[in-house]
Amino acid sequence: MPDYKLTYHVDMVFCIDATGSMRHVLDFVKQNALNLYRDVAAEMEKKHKTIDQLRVRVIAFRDYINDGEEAMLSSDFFVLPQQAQMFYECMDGIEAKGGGDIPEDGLEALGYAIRSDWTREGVKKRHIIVVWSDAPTHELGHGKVAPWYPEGMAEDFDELSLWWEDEQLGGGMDENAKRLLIFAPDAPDWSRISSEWGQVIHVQTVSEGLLDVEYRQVLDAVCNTI
Amino acid sequence: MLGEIMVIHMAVVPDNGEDSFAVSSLPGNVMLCVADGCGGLGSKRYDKLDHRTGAYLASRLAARTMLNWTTDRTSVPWLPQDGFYQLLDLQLEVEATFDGFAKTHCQEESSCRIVGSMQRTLPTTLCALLADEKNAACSFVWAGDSRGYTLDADGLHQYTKDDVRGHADAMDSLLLDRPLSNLICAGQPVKLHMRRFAMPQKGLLFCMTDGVYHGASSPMELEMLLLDTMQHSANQDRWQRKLEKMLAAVMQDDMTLLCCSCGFADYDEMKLYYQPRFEQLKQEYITPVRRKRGNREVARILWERYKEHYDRTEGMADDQQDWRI
Repeated sequence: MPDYKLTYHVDMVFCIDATGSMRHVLDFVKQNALNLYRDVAAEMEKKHKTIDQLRVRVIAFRDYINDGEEAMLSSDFFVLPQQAQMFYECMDGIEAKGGGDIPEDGLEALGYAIRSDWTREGVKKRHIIVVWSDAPTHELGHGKVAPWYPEGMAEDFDELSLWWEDEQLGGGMDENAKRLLIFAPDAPDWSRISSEWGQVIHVQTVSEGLLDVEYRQVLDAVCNTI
Repeated sequence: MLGEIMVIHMAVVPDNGEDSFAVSSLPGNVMLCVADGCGGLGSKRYDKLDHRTGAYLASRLAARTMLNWTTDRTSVPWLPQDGFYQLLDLQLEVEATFDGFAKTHCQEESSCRIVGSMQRTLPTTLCALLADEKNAACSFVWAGDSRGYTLDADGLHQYTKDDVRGHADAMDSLLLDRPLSNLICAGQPVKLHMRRFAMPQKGLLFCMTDGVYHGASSPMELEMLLLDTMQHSANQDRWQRKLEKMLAAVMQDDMTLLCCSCGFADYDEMKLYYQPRFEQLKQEYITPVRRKRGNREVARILWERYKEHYDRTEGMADDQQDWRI
């Protein structure tokens, strides 16, 4: 049999709630994000799967009405390990502040993430979104009155669902490659996503952190489907 | 005449393999069963069960259930309605076993902190072969993407249809990784399929997990792997060792392959029988692609021709004993 080795292109988008209530857990979340990409790469290696290209993108979200232009900050994709330093600096620059009321604009962050410039290269690919938040979400469009609210955002939850479920209907994520990992409370829209959308893992906590065994479960769930 | 059974079972991480299998061989009857625990969906570990994952436990549970169920059910159904009742019986057995096991062993640990469509309790695929010499019939029973094949003088034939979302033929599915649309797990109704066909007068019957068929760059290369290793081995033991070695070199997932021959007096007769096919395969489907360094476009063009004989996932309309439910 001739040499036959599959190569993997993995993109990860980290959506991080950067509002004031996250202050006591933001460092933990940042560390979690840094570990996650390293652990995924190490785990893949253990299974003799070679990641040809690994890229990460960071989206920090708050509240459009309360936080003005700082409501949604996003980076381009960083290619790792080549741009690791830039990625660390970007993570380091995320500050917990603002947020206003309890719910945040997490669904808009998810909309941004779904519409990332996902890799089309590689024999096999994975498009992974990871969300960390300690809050429920506003309804989509809650912040529309704000002048900095983005044009072209999904109109409502149903449209966002279509973005996730159907590559042809506005999403852009490869339907076989996509995975969504949510670290957020058992709040209405997060739980609706985990019960209605395909390819989702919802860890119903962010503030308490994960036990080792739970982190392992999440890591295996992601890596074993790559 | 059912022959010796070959078993290849390898894990990427030794002692933690999430594939499992069962074999039962009685005079005139053989049952082969492979199961592939779904490591992503079943990543939860159970403290009281030696810290094993749900996927690890599920494949073993499926193989054991199949083995127990076939103890007193060895005949292959004749008509689809007979198959329907047999399948119903098996589905209920699998469902009861999985639900019972989950209730006893997995319940108190499911604290529901990790939920979503990518988490299931005891998820696994299954593919089992029942070969019934008296009725000269075989059937594959399956859920998920573990597969049943035959190999005869016309080449390799896939009989089971993968339970995956959307349509992907066997060539596409090597790259597309479509999510499973059906599998066995606790807490959900079990849906199995059955494909019944006449036992080949001479041929090989296979059950394999996706780790095996994903190890080859195309279904043609999979057939080549089987025939090439066979043609260059002096006996079945050596064939097995050679095949194991070749598969180990490309292993990216746990691999389980079970094979039973039928209609051959010995290994030499089998080798001789397959030699013309081996030469034809090499000349028509393998060399042209390898000459182009495995070019996928060339492989795809040849695949279109190859799959006319390869695809037997549907029953044949003109044969009442060849059906799928």
